[in-house]
Amino acid sequence: MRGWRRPLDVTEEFETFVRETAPRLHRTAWLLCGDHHAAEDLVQSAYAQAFARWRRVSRADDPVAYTRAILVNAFRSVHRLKRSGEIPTDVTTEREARPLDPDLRLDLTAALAALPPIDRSVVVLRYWDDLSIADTARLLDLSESAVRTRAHRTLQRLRPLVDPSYERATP
Amino acid sequence: MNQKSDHPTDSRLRTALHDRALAEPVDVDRLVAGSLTCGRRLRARRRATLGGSALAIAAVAAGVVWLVPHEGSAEAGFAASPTAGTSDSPTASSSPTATPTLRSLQEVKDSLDAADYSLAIDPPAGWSCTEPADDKFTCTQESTGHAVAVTIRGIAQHDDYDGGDPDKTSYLVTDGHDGHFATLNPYAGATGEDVQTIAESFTWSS
Repeated sequence: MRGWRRPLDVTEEFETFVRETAPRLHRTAWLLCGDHHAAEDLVQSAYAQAFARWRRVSRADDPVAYTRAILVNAFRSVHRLKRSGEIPTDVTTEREARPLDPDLRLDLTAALAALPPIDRSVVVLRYWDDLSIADTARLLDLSESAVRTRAHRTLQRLRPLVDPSYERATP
Repeated sequence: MNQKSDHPTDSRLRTALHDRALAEPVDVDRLVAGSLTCGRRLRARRRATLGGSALAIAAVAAGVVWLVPHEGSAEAGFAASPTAGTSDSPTASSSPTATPTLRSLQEVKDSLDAADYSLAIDPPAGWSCTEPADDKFTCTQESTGHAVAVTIRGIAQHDDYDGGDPDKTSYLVTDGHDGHFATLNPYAGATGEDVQTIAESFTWSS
């Protein structure tokens, strides 16, 4: 009987976890991917992996951070593949870094999508997930100085979208 | 944990991101259902993989090629490669893994939904492939841990996976062979080159 009940408990525990954390993690995925369906696929994949190793995830110091790491790693894997393998996929939309198009000025998500994936990840983790520089660096396997540099550079690019004074200062 | 910056642009960006993200709808019920379905599948596959991994690694070490045969074939699910089971190889007859490998083949055959195809894989150097669980298996690069998951599918789904259905995405979709094709997906940091390497190790026969 005990052996039969145990999986049910795990499922219920996992379901509770997903219900509590999905709004946050889905939006992390959405900011990374820039697309609702791609984000849903990404976060579902991350949760599925978390469920498959739920015993380990649930015992982690921070199961949300663990699952977020799965999610971010999956996102980065997709982009590594796209860069190196030239294999088409519609999971995410990657674009080369380029100057912001004036038409995109009011669309922060489009501006995010125009960032290189690693810079986008830095922004999302720092300013949406509110991770520290150290945690962001650890998760993205970057140095802390690299995170600072990328965050600074990205802020400069996004500043016209979020800083009303920027327009006045730069005619 | 959070290191708030003094720069006002930081807080503006934070606010702007939160405003935009919170407007994004989240279907939690759908995520729960999808995550549980995929998670259960992963878990089952993982258990099957763990159960067979030692055997598969030993088989690979001995140069065994596994083969999924036609339904009704005289051979059970795996077949020894020339290096393991034929006289072509000077080391074959002494392979200690031949018997357990062949013994596992019936289990593979039993687990396959679509057994009327034949796919041989000669894992590239440094890679090992697990036995199929259902119609799926994983190849892992021993030095890096990079993994490529392979799923054999019926040809009826080919167009969907080949760009026809945005919900059915894979990093690499092979051509159809005798009513079947394979989709390959990377895990654990695997690259497109890894996926390509595994795909190139396939030999389909009809």
